[in-house]
Amino acid sequence: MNEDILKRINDYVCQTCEIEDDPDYDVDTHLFDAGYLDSLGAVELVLFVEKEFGIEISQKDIVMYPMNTVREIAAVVEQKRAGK
Amino acid sequence: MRNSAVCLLEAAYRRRPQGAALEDEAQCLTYEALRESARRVGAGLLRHSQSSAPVMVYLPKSVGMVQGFYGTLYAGRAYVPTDSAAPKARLGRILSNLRPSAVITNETLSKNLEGLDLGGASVLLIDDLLKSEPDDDAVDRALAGVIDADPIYIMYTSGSTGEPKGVTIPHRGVLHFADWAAETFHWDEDTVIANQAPLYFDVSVMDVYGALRCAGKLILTPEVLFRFPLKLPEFLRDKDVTSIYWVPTVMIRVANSGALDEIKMPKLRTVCFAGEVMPNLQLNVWRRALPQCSFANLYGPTETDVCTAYLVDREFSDQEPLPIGRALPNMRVVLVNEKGDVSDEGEICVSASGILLGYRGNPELTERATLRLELLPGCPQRFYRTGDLGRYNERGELMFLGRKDGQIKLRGNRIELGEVENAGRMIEGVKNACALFDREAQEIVLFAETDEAFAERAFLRAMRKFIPAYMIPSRAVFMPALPHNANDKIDRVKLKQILEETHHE
Repeated sequence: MNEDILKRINDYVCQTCEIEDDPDYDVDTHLFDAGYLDSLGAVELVLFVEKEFGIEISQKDIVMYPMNTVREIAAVVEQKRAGK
Repeated sequence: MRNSAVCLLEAAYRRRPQGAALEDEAQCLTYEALRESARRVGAGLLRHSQSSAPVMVYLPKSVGMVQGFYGTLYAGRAYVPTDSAAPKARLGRILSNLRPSAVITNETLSKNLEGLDLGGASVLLIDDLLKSEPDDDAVDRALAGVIDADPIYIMYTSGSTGEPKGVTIPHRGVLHFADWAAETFHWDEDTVIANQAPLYFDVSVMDVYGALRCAGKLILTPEVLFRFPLKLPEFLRDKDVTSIYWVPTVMIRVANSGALDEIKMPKLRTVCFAGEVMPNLQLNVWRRALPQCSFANLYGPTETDVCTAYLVDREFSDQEPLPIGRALPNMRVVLVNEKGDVSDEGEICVSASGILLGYRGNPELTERATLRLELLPGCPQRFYRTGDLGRYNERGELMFLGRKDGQIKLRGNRIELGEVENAGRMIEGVKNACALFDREAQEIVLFAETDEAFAERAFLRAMRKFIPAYMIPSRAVFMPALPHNANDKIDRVKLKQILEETHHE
């Protein structure tokens, strides 16, 4: 796992979801189920990730790969960048 | 003669046996395969459970769940679509009210049934039922015994006391609605419907039976896409979708995501929505992006399914409210004022042969929701009291005004605040609880009376043991004592003030 990708996504999530020192949160937390992210936040997150890493996430990617935790999102980014 | 809604599947099969009928992430069935598999499920049900009581279909949204519905209808019984994520406590309450003949489920979910009182119901795995030996004689016999006044499904909705209410709907309600939708929107065999609503919500009924009615194709949109609304238009384009019927929350998110400007959807022709108020601000974004589409605002509680519709036929400013339109053909909708008279403004009351037969096992509740009106002299008729308030505008169209009671709509979900409060009181250490709906922020806030120091997020998570995720409050406020008014009732006005103060902080 590329730690830099993980960190950049984690920083973004922590900042936009107002996670300060929440003991329940880490990069493996289910962002939707645990209530950190709603669909509005998801739009912003996808736009951020696409812009930040210069990739495009298609509807097929979303159906095919789990993207519920920061680590899962980082994995998709890494794979997309490798595939370029 | 259509005595059962599954006759629509028989007719679609005859019209288009090799046409695509039903698709999810994993598979796509033709009408021939769908009919054949559903008949197997029906035969398996008849073989493994004798009673004619309803069948609970407890599965995640999938082709298998719909095969479970149609299979149950082939066995001549009513089905009960059940949320696969329902908390165990709620599942237990539904089972004890329902007393089903069988539960259709899968291996994983069957474990959640352990320890619950099934009242002798057989637990049948969908994969086994799909492998059942066909028995067309038994299925045809069971089907021939059905009349269109029999229940087709029971859907459980939120109840104010915490007991879910089993709304029992007859076949003819579904047949009537499917006919109306297909004729109104000119659906044909090329129709492709992309479903959004959970199959245990009545908004999905138009998808599930509308597609059959026109021998078109139903796609169960992968649920994960609704977490990423930005990507929904791309999905509709890639799948050549012609028709959608989605809750406004999703439509609003898609409009706000900006994706409608980027992605063209040339095949899309019908866009319907219902379940909550659709703001023109976002509808106008849709209308600008899709000038070729018909847009329709549908209205109706689970008890009547859709009973009024407004086919958008003129321009609206972003701030104007959208009408809910006029009664569907063959349905009667009247407004009843506080004196009990039919009026220009009042409670929306609905009569038709397809509305609810009743709340399962609760005749008192059914009676309370029923009004008998003698609009035709000498012939009193049964009306369902929706609890919604309406008035007519100057064009004679119905306008929705709000609720009479503690029921709210949040992201398209119907929620009784009483059920939320009840769940709050189930948490150890909570003495009392009061739930308020913050209209401005569109969120539920729970006030809990407790001496303990709860962490808010952990507390809200704990409530998931008792109520579904969509009912979980966004915030919890803890206080040693809830305020009471002069009548010694919880002072909701005071709590509202506390809520407003926290807004302005």
